[in-house]
Amino acid sequence: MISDEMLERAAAEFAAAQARALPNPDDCAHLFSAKFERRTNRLIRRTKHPVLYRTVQSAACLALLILLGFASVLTVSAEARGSVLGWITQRYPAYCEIILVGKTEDTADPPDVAYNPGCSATYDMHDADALTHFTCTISRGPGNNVTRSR
Amino acid sequence: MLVYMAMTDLSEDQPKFEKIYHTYKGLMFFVANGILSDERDAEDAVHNAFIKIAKMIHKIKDPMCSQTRNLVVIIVERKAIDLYRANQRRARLLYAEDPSGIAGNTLPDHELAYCISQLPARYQQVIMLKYHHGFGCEEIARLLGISKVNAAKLDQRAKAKLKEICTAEGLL
Repeated sequence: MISDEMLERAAAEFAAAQARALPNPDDCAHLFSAKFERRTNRLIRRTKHPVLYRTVQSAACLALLILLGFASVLTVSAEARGSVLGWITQRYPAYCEIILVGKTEDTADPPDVAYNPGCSATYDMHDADALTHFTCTISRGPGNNVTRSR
Repeated sequence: MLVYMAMTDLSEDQPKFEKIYHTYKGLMFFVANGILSDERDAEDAVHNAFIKIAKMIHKIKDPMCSQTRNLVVIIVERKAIDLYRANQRRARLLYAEDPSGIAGNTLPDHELAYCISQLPARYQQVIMLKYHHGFGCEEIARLLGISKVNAAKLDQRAKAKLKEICTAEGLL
């Protein structure tokens, strides 16, 4: 029967033999790769501020959880989508943004985009170079509309 | 608040870890490279070992003592063997058992210690962690990356194998 005391003594003896078999740490110089140094320096920084890193990590997890939950609710519930859109319309009642995206195939005949603010003047917002991205912000109100004609 | 937290968690563990890193990284590489025979893999094993050490740094009292040296060697040896096995699986090669750890070369004078040296690396590590470092099954499981039940089984098997070797050597 091998008792725990015998094992403890033997383990200590074995550890000593193992230490004798290994070279001195000072004699094991090795030039580590830059990737290794970078990764380990990051680890050292983490050990310097464990509480900070853990808190930041927890906060990031919480934010991600909230974002995912919010996105899931918006995806499955039309009511929620309506509420959010309603809130946005309420929050920004004076302006709306119109974005026209697309590149015309026929550069000789680019699309004409005109904005008629309900008065006699028509502002031609035609993009001469037929660029892909066109954005205009217009004031919202009765009689204001955006027309696009060819 | 972040600045305050950064200041408050400058605990005593911080210089301990850096000291271990600067003192033993060369030795750890030597051990890992001896098992893996590949510098890049050996560096990966050393890095994985440091991650493990960082998680259990509070268990280390003196970074410079021989017990700490033995512990970091066990950890890097374990990580190197794990990487070796993962590489073998990736290469779809069959292998009979774990490669022998660095302890395979040591032949202690003490009879029971000699029998420990004849154990496979995994059993040696469990015996050393339990009886030299005083770790419980839960800590051994965490350190070796296995379940607590497996750690307890490994301990049982290690002792059974040791008993078998001792009987064969005429010690029992």
